[in-house]
Amino acid sequence: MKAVFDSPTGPLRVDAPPATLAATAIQAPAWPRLDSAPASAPLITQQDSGDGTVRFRSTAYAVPDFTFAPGLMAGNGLVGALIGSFTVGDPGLLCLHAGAVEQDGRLTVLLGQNMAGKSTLAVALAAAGLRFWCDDRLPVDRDGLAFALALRPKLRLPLPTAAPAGFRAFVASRTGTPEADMVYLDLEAERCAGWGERLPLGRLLVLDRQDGAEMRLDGIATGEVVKALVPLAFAPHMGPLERLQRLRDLAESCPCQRLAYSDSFRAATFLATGGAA
Amino acid sequence: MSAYRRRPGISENRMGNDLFLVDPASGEIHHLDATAIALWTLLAEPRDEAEIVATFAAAFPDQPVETLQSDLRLALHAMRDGGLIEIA
Repeated sequence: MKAVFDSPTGPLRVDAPPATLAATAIQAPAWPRLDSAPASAPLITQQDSGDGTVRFRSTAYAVPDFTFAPGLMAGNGLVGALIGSFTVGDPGLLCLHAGAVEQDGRLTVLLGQNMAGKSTLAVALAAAGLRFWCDDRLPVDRDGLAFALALRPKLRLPLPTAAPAGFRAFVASRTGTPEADMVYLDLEAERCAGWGERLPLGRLLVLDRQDGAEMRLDGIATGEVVKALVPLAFAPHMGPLERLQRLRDLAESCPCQRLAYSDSFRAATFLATGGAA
Repeated sequence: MSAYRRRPGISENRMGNDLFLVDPASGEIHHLDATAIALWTLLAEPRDEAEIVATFAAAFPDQPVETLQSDLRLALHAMRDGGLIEIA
């Protein structure tokens, strides 16, 4: 089945089964579709891996050789291939593996490796009243403007034992489609950025979650932030020197801080109530 | 004993106290910790392991030489595996 997705760098063609496209729509319900695209537009195809899983290929870049179970996982894989394919379409665009929320008209960007708690903290901040931007993927252009993809946040289940009753109720009333031990949340439109919105970065927050850590917010040097950004930046179309310079520019474009904490929910309250000031 | 040296083509990028090395051939960006920075600085000229250990032992006289040697060997191997240095 052929489909065409809009993107910040132009149309993207997709050849994937209806089930995968439907799964993508669950994760990315607001991602616009188009009626047609020029034959020169990047083409993403789903391929059978031969073991019951699928992988994706793109004419725009070498997609990492990850395999996905059919269904929601495959939809997630296609979203990744879409993001990769449009990112390489703009020499100045890179995509950060990061969460973000809007705070005073700018983005607080949450930087951390997998399992660092980005999604939990981003959703906890949304529950605390900040506008959700993303929990995983943040495209940023050469001018430092971030693009909203309006992907649904995902949370791992069961929720952390430290999750307060209010957060559990917030999640329970917005629980959407489950995926293995994950669940997609359906946030109200006013709680999250719409597809295509752009905002500048307000600060970069390096997450440092450790059991028993006292909550602290400290300014950190550019090099420390760039060290955190290097493994989180997707930009295969940039040479390493250019990529490093872009990350340095990002780090120097706004305040950079390290948040030490042990409890995501207390951290969310701390940040949402001005602990960041 | 074989000497270690910096691999040609690696470029340095300093940001305050942090040092990043960029390998244009592999596309990799490496952030160096304090030990690796000291090693990289020392290897501005090719040096063998004994010279390196002696230099560190003079700088850290309270550290047992065996510990220094073991730590430095690990760091040298990591930098060599990362393509930053090579045997001259």
